[in-house]
Order: sequence, then C-alpha cells, then structure tokens
Amino acid sequence: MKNVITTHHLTKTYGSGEAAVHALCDCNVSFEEGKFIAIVGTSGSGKSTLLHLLGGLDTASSGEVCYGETSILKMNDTELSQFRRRNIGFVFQFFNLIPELTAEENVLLPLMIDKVKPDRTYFKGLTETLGISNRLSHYPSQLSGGQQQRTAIARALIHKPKVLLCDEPTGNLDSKSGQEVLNLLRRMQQDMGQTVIMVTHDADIASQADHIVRIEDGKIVKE
Amino acid sequence: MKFQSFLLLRYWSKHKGKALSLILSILLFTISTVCMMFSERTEVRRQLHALYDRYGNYSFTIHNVTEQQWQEISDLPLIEKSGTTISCGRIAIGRSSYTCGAFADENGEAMSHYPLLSGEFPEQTGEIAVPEFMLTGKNTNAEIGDTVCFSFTDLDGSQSQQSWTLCGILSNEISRLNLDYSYTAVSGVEGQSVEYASPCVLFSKEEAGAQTHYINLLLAPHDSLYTSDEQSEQWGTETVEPLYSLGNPITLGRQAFIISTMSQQTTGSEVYTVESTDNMKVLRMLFVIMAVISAIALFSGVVSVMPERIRSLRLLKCVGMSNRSLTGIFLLEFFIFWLIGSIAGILIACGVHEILLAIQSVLGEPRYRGYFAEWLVTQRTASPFLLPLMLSALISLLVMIYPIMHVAKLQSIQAAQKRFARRTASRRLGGLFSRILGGKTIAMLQCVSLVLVLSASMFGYLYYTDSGKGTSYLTLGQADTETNFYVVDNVNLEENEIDCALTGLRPQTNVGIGIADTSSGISEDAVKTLSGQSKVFAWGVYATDHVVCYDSWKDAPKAISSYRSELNSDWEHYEHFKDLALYRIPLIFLNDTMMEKLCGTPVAHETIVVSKSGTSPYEVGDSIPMITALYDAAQDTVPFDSIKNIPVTVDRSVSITQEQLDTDAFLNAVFGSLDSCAIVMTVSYAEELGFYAPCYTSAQLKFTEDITNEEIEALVKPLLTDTVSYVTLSDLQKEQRILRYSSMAGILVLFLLFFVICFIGYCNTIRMKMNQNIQNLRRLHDIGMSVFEIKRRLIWSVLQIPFWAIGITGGLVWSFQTFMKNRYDTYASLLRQQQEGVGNTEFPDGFFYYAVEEFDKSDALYDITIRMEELKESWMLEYELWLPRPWGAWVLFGSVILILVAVAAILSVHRIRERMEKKEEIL
Repeated sequence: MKNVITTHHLTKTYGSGEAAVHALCDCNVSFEEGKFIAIVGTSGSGKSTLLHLLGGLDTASSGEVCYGETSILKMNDTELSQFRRRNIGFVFQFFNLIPELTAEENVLLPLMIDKVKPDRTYFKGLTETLGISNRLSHYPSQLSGGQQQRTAIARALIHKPKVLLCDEPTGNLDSKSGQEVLNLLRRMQQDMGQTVIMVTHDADIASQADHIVRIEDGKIVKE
Repeated sequence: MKFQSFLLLRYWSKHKGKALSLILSILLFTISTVCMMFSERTEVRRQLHALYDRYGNYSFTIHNVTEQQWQEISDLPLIEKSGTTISCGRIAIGRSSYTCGAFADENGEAMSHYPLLSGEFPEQTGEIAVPEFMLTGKNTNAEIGDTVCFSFTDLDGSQSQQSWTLCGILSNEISRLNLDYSYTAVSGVEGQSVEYASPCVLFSKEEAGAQTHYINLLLAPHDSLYTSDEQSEQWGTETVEPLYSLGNPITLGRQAFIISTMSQQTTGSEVYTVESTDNMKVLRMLFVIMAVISAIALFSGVVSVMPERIRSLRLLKCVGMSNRSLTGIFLLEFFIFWLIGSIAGILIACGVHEILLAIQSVLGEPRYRGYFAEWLVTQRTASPFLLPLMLSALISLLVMIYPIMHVAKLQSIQAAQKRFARRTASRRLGGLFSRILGGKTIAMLQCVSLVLVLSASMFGYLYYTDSGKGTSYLTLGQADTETNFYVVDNVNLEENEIDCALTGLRPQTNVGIGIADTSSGISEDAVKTLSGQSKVFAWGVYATDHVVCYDSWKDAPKAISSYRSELNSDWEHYEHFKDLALYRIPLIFLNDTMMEKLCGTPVAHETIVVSKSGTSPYEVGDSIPMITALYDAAQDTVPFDSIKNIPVTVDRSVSITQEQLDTDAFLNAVFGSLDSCAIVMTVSYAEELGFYAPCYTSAQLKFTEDITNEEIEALVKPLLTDTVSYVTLSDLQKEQRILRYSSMAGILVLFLLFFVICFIGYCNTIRMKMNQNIQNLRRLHDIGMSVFEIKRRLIWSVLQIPFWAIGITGGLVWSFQTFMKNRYDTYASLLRQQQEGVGNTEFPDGFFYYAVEEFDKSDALYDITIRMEELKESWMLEYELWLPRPWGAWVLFGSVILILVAVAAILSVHRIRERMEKKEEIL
C-alpha cells in the first residue's frame, strides 16, 4: 500500500538551553493511504505535537513531513495554508468552531477561504449523514457537544481532503456521543477512501483503528 | 480586599498586554485633555501679559481728569493705589506721533510699564527718555548724554524743533507706542476719544508739568494680579460705577475685566473680556474634539477588554465569590488603571507641553507655562489637573457601567453566555470575517472620531493658512492675503522684483486748496542719488485734491465739472476764495523712469494732461489756473501771501488705456484710480513753475545686481528724513516667512497632537481587537487561511473605517458648502436689490453699506436690509469664506489619516503569527 504521509527525522523542541523540552525526537513514521490510524500515548508524550506537525499547524525544529513527494515543511505560509485547506481536514478535541458563525457558515468556511463554490448536493448529503442538517442555522453555543463535533467533522470534510487529522475528537464528549463520532469518522473513511489519523489516549478507541502508532516521550515506540 | 488585590494581580500579570492597552487608553485621554487645558491657560496668560504690555499694571486710565474730579476719585472706597501721569504734547517720527509726558508721582511710575534699557528717567528740565525704536526711526546712534533733536508739538498745537539731553532709553516693549495705537486703544467709551495716550516719551515732571493739560489717573485695586480678592463684587458697585459716572474717557487695564466678570458689571458701553479671541475659540473647539476622540478611544479600549474579563470573573462566581465581591474587584480594577493612566498621562502631558512651549519659544513666543497660573487666570480657566482627572474618571466609570452591572447580576455561567440573533447564512467571506472580528459599535465610534479629526484638521488648515478664504461682498476675507503682503503704495514688490520701497509723507491738504509744506516727501535729490545706483520708479501726488480755479463754473471744461471742490467755511481765507469755482485735479510728479513709461521718452519741461481712454477735458495749449499754497507748521497756518495762482499751459495730452494699466504695475499704481484726468510734470519743472516744495511720495528701487539688505540700508538710510520710511523686499519676505512658519508650526503642532493620538489609539484598538479574536484567527489559520490572508483581511477591516470617515466627512463638507452657498447667494441677491434700489450703478464693482436706520420702514429696502443684517449676523455666514477650496484639504488630510491608520494596522498585525502560536491561548 502507498504511504500518504512520511516523516523523516522529525524533531520538535520547545525552549532552549536547560529549559529545552524535546516534544518530539527524531521521529520517522509513515502512514498508509486509506487507513484508519490511531496515535496513542500518555499525556505529554508528544502525540498532539506530532499531529500538528503532520498537519503543518506547527513548525518542526528539524526533519521533514512529506505528503507523497511533497515536503510541507519547506513551504511558505501561503503555500502551506493552501495545501492544508485542500488536502487536510482537522478535527479538534474542543471543536474549534467559530462562535460568531452559524453551523452552516462554519462548515462552508474552508471553501469560502479557497474561493470555491460549494457543492450543495455534497454539502446536503454530508450534513444529513452527520445529522446536523436541521441545526445548520444554529450558532455553536446553541449546539450540544456531539453536534458541535459533528459540525467540526463536516467542516473538515467539506473540501474532500485526502487526510483527516483528528486530535482526540471524542475527548470532550460522553461515551455515547464519542462512539457516534467514531462511527461517523470510520464511515466517512470507508465511503470516501480517506486516510484518518487520530490522536487518542483511550485504548478502546485505538483498538478500533487499522493501525496503531504508539509514542512515548516524543519517540515512536511501536508502529 | 487583600484577596481581591491578589486575584487582580494574578490575572493582569498574565495579561500584561491587555492591561497596558487599557492604561494606554486612559493615558491618551489624560494627555490630550491636560495638554489642551495647559494650552488654554497658556493662551489666557499670553493675552493677560499682552494687556500688561499695553496698559501696565493698573485697572483704569481715566483721561482729562480735572482737579475736582481728582478729589472725587480720591474719595472713592476700595482704591488701593492711584497714580498720575501727565501728557504734554507729541513728537513726530515719520508718519507716527508719540505722546510725551511724565510721571506725576511715584505711583505713576510704579504702576506704569516703562522698562529702562539704559540710563535713568528724566529728573531735570532738558532731559528726555525715549523708546529705542524712536532712535532707530530717527536714524541716529545717539547714546546716553548725547543731544537729540525732535519736532515737538505741544498741547496747543505749536510745533517747534527742540533739543534735549538723552538721559534714558526705554525698551520697545513699552506700552502706548504711538498715536495710531492710542486713538484706537485709549477710547474705552464709545463716542469719546482722547487725543493723547499715556506717554511713551518721558520728560521731567517740571518740564511736562509746565504744559499739563491732560492727566491720566491710574487705579489699582491690587499691587499685583497674583492674589485673589473677595471684594471684587464691591469694586463694581462702589468704585467702578462712580468712575464711569464721571463721564471721562476710560481705558481698561488688565484687572478691569475681573470686575466686569465677577460682578457681571458692564463697564460703560462694553464688557471687557480676554477670552473672545479666535485662538481661544479654536483651542476650546480642539479641546472638545480631542476629548471626544480620546473618550471614544477609551471606550473602545474598555469594551474590547471586557468580554475576556467577564469570562474570567464568571469563573470566580462559579467558585463561590459573591456578586458584591466581583463588583468590588471591577471597581478596584478600574481605580488602579485610572490612577496609573492618569498620573502617567499628566506626567507625559507636562513633557508634551514643554515641547510645545519650546517650539513656540523658537518662534519668538514667551513661555507661559500652563501648570500653575496667576490667580486671575485660575478664575477664568479650569484646573488642568483636576478637570481631566475628573473627566477621565467619569468617562471610565460610564463605559464600565455596563460590565459592572453585568457582573453584579451574574447568576450562573449560562447567564453570561453570548447570545446571537438568528440570521441566514452569509455567502461572503468578507462579511463572515467582519462578524468574526465583531466590534461594530466601536467601529462606528472610531468612524465618528475620524470624522471629527478630519473635519478639525481641515478647519485648522483652512483657518491657519487662509487658504479657505475667498473674496465676497461681505469683504470678510481676502483672497490673496499673501500677495497683498508685498504691496507697498499699490505696487507688489515681489512680483515686480523691487528691492526696496520708499514711502514719503504727502504734503498736507486742507479745505480744497493745494498746500505744500517743506518737510514732506522724498526729495528730487534723493531720487537722483538713488538713480545712480538703481532703476528708480518714483512718483508723487501733490495734494491729491490740488486745486484748479476758475472765475465761474462756466469757464471750466464740462468734463471736470463733477470734481467740484467745496470750500470749508472754517478756513481762514474762505472769504477770499468763496466766489471762485474750484475743482480737484491731481497734480502728479514723475521721475525720468516713470516719464519714459508714460510718454515713451523722458520729458523734462512739459505739462502733460493724462486721461483715461481719451476723455481729457483739456487740449494742448489750454491754460489751467492752479492754486498752490505753503503751510507754515510753526504757526499752524497758511499765510495769505504764500497763496499763488499759477497758470500752467498744457504741452501734451496723453491718453492711457486700460490695457496699459493692466500690464504695467507702476502706471496702474499712479493712474489706476484716476477719475477724470491728472496734470503730470517733473518735480524740477513744477519748481520752475513756482509750485512749493514738490516731492515724490513713492519710490521703488530696483537694483541691477544682487544686493544685500545691509547694502540697501547703507544706500538708503542717509537719504531718509523724519517723513520718509522704507521697506525692503527681503524684510517683507523675512516677515512673511516668519508668519508662514509660525502658521505652519501651529498647524503641525495641532496635527501632530491629533494624529499621534489617533495613531496610538488605533494601534491600541487594533491590538486589542486582535487579542480578543486571536482564538478565532487561529481557527481560521487551522482550516487553511494563510497568515498573509488573515493580515490582509484584518488590515482591510481596519481601513474600512477611515474610508467611511473620509466619505462621510466629504458628504458633510459638501452639504455644508451647499447650505452656506445658498445662504450666501441669498445675501448677494439681497445686496444687489438693495444697491439697485438706491441707484448704485457701479454695483457690483463698488457698493456702499447701508444701515437699517437709513431706510423708512415703509420702504422695501428696509425689509431687504433687515434680512441682510439677519443673514450676516446669523450662524456662520462669514464662514462662506472657508468654502471655496475645501477639497484639497479633504484629499490631503484624508490621505494622511488613511496612511496613518494603514501604518498603525500594519504595525499592529506584524507579530500576529507569534501571537497565534502561543498554545496556551489557543487550544
């Protein structure tokens, strides 16, 4: 199977000198296309850092993150932003919805940024699948946690990205809502053939993934 | 309180940037208000000291006081000090006359303002003390102990050349400089004038007293201005009213207006105030605008910080803190910020004020600091510390009322959740971005503040540069103030490249008879001497109404019949001339250069009749009977045997065209105002014919080489007399430069204040807006909006405000212009009706002012004139003069504001990436 993302000697250090914290050390890992992959580890192990570096949300101290042949860490901000909005979808633990915008506006926002006209059929199908079609005119504060996360997933999927990066997407939800979100992610991955990389510290959730990448103290210990 | 302080410290130490922004808002408000209060005090002090320079340290000068009146005044209560000075005549230098006199007693000296530069005051007969400028004007280097000679006219009008020993030289800062000044300044009561002001040339008491005729009484309720007086009101009723009841002309000194203000006493026909100057009005207007702008900045600052702060306080509520404690925290927080911001603001304002004073000082203005002031000033101005502090506290409290009330009502976390109105989804990213950033109210307020800044800048620019002034029927302004600045004797020195202009005194005229005196004007010798060094355009008008006489009206040419001269029956020789028909025709002298301009060649011995457009009443060969007479200054009379009838024969007739007048500045200066005709000849030919003391009254010197001012002075000064003065182009240019730079400095200081506050306020607001929205911005970045795009949209969202402000201001100016133009057109139309109604055929080239009283109530012109007066007195009609050219200023200051806001926005979003990457604030 073809690797969609590969990292080479990826390192991230916060601070300098004696106060330096090595969040990620010489990390070499690859992710297969079309798989549902879980990154697991204890708190502070560096799993979120890895996910942010994979998505270009953070800059690495050294090393490379390659999507196929393309190294995203060499891109400037404008190129990286464009690459991200077209190829990567993000789902965060705290949803990161913009409170001033309605659910519909939040979902369509990436397309607007990219100046792309939304595919209304796809949008309708996506929101219906995610069960938020009747909540589109609501603001995030008027939605439940599960609905907010499903809105965030819709936003991540609206431009049909190749890779979906999820940072503990169920961490802020009850078990029932969490499971619903997981099922949805799995279904989307299967229907759309996307690669889903999910950070979690929940062993049960991780067990539902095709692959598990374990990380401890900033190092990949098992792939 | 201790716990609350601890919480505050912890919270704000984590949010230093926001705390700084909030303090900065209060600080800006304090700086602007304190600076304006300082400026107001400085201006009042400046005016007060100007009064001192003019009138000295006293309240009233009462003129023409008799012995009996003096007794009455002495008996009045509440007079702390009084002194007398004596006027005994005048000394003439050039065109000005200066009052001579002495102190009658010690108080007279102490209370007046006579700073001695050197020497001492006269004590013996034959001694004199004069201001320095008189020696300069006399062109003498006389020193203490030298003998000086002046033409002295005593109170009876007798003139004589007298010599004195110079015992003292007074500073030019002396008050009551000359009669021009005195005549206007001294008569404090309408309808009453005094011939002599308090003296500026001092004699000994004995010498002046011998001719005493006028007495100035000085009253001073105080030794100085620097203490307060509880009896001010009593002065009004017990002292001032009796003074006015004497009926003598009164001059008001600088303390008088305290009385008039504090007791609301109308002193005579006017209430004296020092605040009604343009500078004060402008300063107050600016103060209000600055206060509004700063208040908006403060409001924006507080409102921007509040949502974040409320969230934090909400958490405290959740952990058990009472609403009362939370309100306490808020109030404590407000107090601390207000205290820090205000104190720092006052300190910085003091620094700014010092800088402004330093700039003014460079331009020659004395440094009148605004921190503390004389008691008198404190009665007229608000405290520059207390008022801004109270205002900033009040505004801070006002803007915090909502959050405080909100906090006081907090019931639960949910109660404070942000609620949004339902709305349909927007399809535009720009619209969404604006919603994400929020702050529409603040944006509107900022827009208002920018409209104010732009309007005030435009007003300031048009006001200080005069560039908004146009010409109008109201003659309230001049279109070419700067051009007129260089006009001397109707010739623009700069346009005609004239290096120096001499102006002589015209021969005295009286009762329609041409009269010369031997001391007048620029001599032929002086012009000849200067002609060797330069090209000289010289001309003189010999008694503008020089008389031509005929035995009867029938003998005179018809074309001059409208220039008949009415003989004054008071004239001593009236009986001799009353049966003659007299006409006024100018007799003009031209030098060679001017003759060449007029005739094409120099003409030495010809009498030329010059008329406009070939309407000469005389032909070549006609004899014109002209009268000349010599004035005897010593006797102040025209001896009968000096009157001569000189028939002149017309040798040449010259017609001068309008085109010549339009193209030649010199011909225009001499003949531009010609009514019918003029008789022209050279000075030497006039002397040959028997005219007395012909001379030039104007001469313009054009040097062929580059010449310095000093060299011109060296050439010209020896030729000057008491009646001839001169001005050089470089002097005028220097003066104009000083005026222009002063104006520019004024504008710059004004705009700097405006724009610095605007700039800092904007930086502050943008930063706060960014901080408040940093999470949302980060979210946008996460879903694919590049930092560049975020910056671009942020900058654009900020720039929209000045664009709106510029548009709104343009609309306001246009509306105002249209409104005022309509009013002005109405006035012009009424004026036309009025002038046509009174039969003025020269309108609109010439028009006359008519008071309402001049028309009968039944006359239609009465109503027209009433409407005109109403229009003229109503709101800002005079400011139609500001309207001709506002658009240049609009573009200029609109651009400046746009650039400033753009720079502020660019600088503020510069480090947005670093801010977004601060993880603890984001996820």
